[in-house]
Amino acid sequence: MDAQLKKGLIEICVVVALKEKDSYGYQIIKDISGSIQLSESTLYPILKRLEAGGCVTTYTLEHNGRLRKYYRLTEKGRDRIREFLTEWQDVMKVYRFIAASERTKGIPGKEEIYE
Amino acid sequence: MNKEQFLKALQDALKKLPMEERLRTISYYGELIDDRIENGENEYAVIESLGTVAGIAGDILSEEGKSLSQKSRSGPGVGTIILLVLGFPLWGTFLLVGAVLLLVIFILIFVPVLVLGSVALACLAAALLGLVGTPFLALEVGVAGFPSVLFQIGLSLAALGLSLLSAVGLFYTATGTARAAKAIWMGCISLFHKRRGSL
Repeated sequence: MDAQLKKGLIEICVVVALKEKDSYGYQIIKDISGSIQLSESTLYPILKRLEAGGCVTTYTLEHNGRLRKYYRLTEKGRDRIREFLTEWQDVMKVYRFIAASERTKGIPGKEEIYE
Repeated sequence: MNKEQFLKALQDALKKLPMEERLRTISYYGELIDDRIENGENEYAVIESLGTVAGIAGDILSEEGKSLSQKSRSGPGVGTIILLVLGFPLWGTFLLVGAVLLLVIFILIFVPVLVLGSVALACLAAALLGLVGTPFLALEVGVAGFPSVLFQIGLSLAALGLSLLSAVGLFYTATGTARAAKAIWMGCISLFHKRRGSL
């Protein structure tokens, strides 16, 4: 997958992983690895960017004698989910157009796009 | 490599980062390694899976470079501001002298207009007074004083003429003066705009 596209997708997956409850690095990776493949090193700059953009805040809690950093989603972060879903409706339109053109081997008409 | 060796190597590789950033990175990776070990993974296997220290450090340093160049584009830096404040006695003085010079020039530009205007008004007043007073003078001095009456009329007419001449001169210089004043003002403003752009 295109690197920039993947980063954007991982970012929104992280936001969703934090939607219901605060979470921490390892847990976030476990939660979203099912949908998209990512490593610790990919996640780190994404978390930094989300924090810099005001989409998440952080706090530290003690766990088993060591410190663990937790991430909390802000209102601005929640808005990103709505933005993503709206943006990708247009992406899906283009996808259906391309897929339909593959079936019809040409420019598809409106009915063929939604087949 | 074990966890300690890995974190130490990563810390060394990130020497160029500000200390706060470096510590944040080390604690992030330390935490993640600990979590994976706690969940049953083998320490060495975890370190292996993270990739090379050089690779990780390279990515982090390039990300940091990107975000820094975005920040510095916005407005004058702290260094510039400090220089401006420290140098104020120098450039402040020059600015003051320049402002005073500008004021003087403006005043000088308006002098011809003021002079011509004053002359026009004064002469008009004199002419009116003279003409209005002539009948009274005539009554007082009678036929013997006719030269004085004539003199007064003549002087009044001369004053009137001078007044008219000054008025004409005023008319022609006023538009030129206004244009000159405006041009100088626009020139100064454009100087300031240029300086702001280069900051």
